[in-house]
Amino acid sequence: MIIRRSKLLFTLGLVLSLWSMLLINFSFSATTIAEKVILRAGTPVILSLEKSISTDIANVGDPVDLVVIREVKVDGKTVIETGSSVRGEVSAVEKKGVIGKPGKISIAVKSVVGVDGKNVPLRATLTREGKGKETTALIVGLVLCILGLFLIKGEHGVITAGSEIKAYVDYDVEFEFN
Amino acid sequence: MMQLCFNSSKNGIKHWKIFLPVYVILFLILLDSVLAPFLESKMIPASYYFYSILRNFCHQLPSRCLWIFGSNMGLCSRCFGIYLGIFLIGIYLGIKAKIKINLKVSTIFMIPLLIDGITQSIGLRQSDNLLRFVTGFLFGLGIGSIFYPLYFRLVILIKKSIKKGGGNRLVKKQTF
Repeated sequence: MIIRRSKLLFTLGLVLSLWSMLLINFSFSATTIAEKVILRAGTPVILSLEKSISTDIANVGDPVDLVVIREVKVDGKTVIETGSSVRGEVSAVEKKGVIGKPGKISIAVKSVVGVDGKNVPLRATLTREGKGKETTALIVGLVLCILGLFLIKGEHGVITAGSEIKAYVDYDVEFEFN
Repeated sequence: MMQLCFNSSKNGIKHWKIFLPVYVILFLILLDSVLAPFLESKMIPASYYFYSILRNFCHQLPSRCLWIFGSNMGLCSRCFGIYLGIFLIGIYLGIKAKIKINLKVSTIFMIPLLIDGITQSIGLRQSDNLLRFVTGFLFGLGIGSIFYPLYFRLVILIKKSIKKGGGNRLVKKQTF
């Protein structure tokens, strides 16, 4: 009885040790499989402006700080993380003008850095126009004083911090995951 | 408490027939809201126009929308909840024999949205999309339960005045 039990224990121990050795060998010798996912063109990426920009201080070509506020996943894998910084620039500036003309500012989104450090090209523009004062300028200028036409200007065009922009991936980008 | 009670059998008109134009408009708005992200997920350019139509009804901030098919819906979560609530309460009232306004109940349904919206706008807290949808849905039920009976009453009054006006014209012809 004791001999049978000891034999059983020995056999069990042998099987377990062989199995664990096999596992170790398998894990060291297994080749890592790289999984590729493609981030398709037209995939939406939601961005938010970090700092306000205005027609009174901005110039065409000025860099713009944006950040990704919603991660982008493809087949369950995150390709663009929340908080990733986005490259953008001021694409058009129209200063406020006479006869109550408002200012207008446009920004264009260029690219974002993906999880693997790759640049993902984006396309989006956002334009904001200030409030116009054309009616006030015309009334004051024609009724009271002609100078009113030149002195009354519209408001600056401002894109406030926190403004959301829906950008789209410009062309397919491949990501590799190990 | 304001009590307006309408009985379809007494008026001889089924409520749902009167409400049909409202159903159609609401259904189209809700359908558009779902179709826009669907078309965008299929890279169909027409999705831009579906989003543009709904821009007249909603701010469409992507962070405040429910996401389906990998893109944001055409309506924010609150607006979608409101329109869905109005649509569903309309279906329910349309099949009822008697509909009446109960201001107390309707107000109770509207209060959660007011609390959620006001506390957020003054910076006390930040809501989330699920809460916005639920409060919007309840608000839709409340506002719909006031709107549909009033709409029904208005349509009946217009129809009656048209009939009366037609009768008067007939009398005038006879005197001539």
